[in-house]
Amino acid sequence: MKSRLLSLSKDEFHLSDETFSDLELDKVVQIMARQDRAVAKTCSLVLRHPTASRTTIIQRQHVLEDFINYEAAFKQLYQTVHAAISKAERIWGEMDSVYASIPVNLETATAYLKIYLQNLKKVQAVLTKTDFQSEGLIRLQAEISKYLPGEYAQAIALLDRLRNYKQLLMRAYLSNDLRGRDYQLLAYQEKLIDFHWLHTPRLKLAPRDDAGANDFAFRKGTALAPIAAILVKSAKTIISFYQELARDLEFYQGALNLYHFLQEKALQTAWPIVLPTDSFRRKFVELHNAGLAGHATDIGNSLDIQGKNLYLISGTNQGGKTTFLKSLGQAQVMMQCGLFVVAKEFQAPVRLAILSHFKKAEDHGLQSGKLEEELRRMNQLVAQIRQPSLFLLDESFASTNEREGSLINEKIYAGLRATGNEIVSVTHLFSLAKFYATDINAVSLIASASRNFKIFPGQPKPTANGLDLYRRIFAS
Amino acid sequence: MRAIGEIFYLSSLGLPVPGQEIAITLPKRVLTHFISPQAVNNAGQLMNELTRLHQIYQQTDKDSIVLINEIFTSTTFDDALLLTKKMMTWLKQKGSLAFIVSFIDELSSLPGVLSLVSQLKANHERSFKMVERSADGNADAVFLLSQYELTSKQIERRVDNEK
Repeated sequence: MKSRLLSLSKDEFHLSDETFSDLELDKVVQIMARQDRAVAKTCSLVLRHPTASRTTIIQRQHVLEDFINYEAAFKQLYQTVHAAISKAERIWGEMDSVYASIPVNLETATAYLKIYLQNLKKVQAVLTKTDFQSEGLIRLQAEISKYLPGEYAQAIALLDRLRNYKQLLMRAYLSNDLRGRDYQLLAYQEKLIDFHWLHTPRLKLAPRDDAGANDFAFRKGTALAPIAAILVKSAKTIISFYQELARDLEFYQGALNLYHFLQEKALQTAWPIVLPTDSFRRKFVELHNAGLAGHATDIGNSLDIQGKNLYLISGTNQGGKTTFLKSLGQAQVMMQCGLFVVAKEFQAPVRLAILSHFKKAEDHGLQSGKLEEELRRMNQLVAQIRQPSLFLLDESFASTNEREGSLINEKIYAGLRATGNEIVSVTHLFSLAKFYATDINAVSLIASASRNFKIFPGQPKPTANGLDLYRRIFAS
Repeated sequence: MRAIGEIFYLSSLGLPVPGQEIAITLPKRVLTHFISPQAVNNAGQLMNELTRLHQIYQQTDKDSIVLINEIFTSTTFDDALLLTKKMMTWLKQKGSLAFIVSFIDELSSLPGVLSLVSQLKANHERSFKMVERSADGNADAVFLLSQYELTSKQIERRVDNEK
């Protein structure tokens, strides 16, 4: 039995720690977690493993939509599941079969099963009485119904008896060498027990007869073993189911927290339209940086581009270029985790890897090594390419002069584009932007103060006119 | 660049200088332009550079040594080329001996210019050796990229191998 509210397929890929922090996804996780450590851990884990499967993404979107529409039911589910887990934590015992402690295995397994089965009934009740529409939740309901025993009450009663036995009825046969074989536990029937008791020879164990006690334990263990094995397996199944379900619900809790946070900041959210991997279309309206949401410097950007594999963003410093780059990266990750995005509308293709190359903090002592460090990092990123990948570059190779920096960028872009990848690059290297002015598969975007630092298609213009300044100074 | 400046300066003081064999004409003054790039304000940096450059323009003559280290890095490439050429024109007119560190390859082929290019070692560390040859930033960039398997061909080969 599997929860599968999150994953259907194994199409997940790993987002590097560097990319995670470059895109400020830790801020998003913080908002999602709302101080809950378990939720923080789960959301961080999920966001670091976006999926490349469109089916999984859409399924998650539908489940989340259900939870947004029926939040009370979600809360009930969340609390019920976690209540079972807390209760189960208080069980003392183990279930891993060492032959002599079979009774312990049995007792522990029955304890877990009782708690979880009772709880599962409550979970089923919440699911059946809520009108969930998503395939994910409907399937969960079916899984649970399949697992829950038809004669539920009798099953619980049997578990109780197995835990609290004072007497066990067994049957065995004598083998050729006068040993017992085929020990079998028989069903407890009160009247039968009394009958057998009347007509059976008894053997009383002497107080310090250790050998005798071991022998009895051995026979008891033999009889209980098959039953214990089944119950232990059953218990382990349901335990892992609950762990998975709890983890899945923690992610959706984080998503709901994020949803409410954005609503409070009066920011719209949209379900992204997930385009196939061979697409190069991007369209969004009023895309915001999720980490900055509601902050004074947060602006919404819109774009409608088709068929480009290189986006060059230039313009004034402090012009919101990097913020925009991050918002694009965040939205891509969020989309590929099945979440909504912070925009009025959003369409983007699935990428098989999301790789970032951001400017690192200035280290004046290592000036000479900085270019080498950047090249080394880019080298490592190339090793992670899975076509098509999305490259997000922020002021790459600006650590050298404009000429060399532009050349290096141009040549690397050529290789990346030739291997089917998509590049979004923020740069102040004017020569670089000029180079792609006539490239039909590239689009040039600028952020300018005159337009509130919003990103628009356009060619960059040189900011200061050096010649004018020269004439002014040398005229005197 | 600093080494050259030091040699001229210390020689003028009558002091020995490091080196196996050195022959120079003694200058009357050594003028330097070593303004380091500022993190933020491009317009401000250009102003600083031109102001300092103007001072040099006023002071320099045929008995001066001028050392220019990476000037006009904050402007566009086109502007940098234009302004550097203007500077070289009046330096030549005034008869000064000038050493200019620049990333502008085109300058190396101008008349009256001796071109020296810094070399990299095999492990792509700087060797700090200057070699007399024409500047070709394109070839240098390709060489550098090949050291890190980032040329177009290398990237294509690597991605194909991953498939």
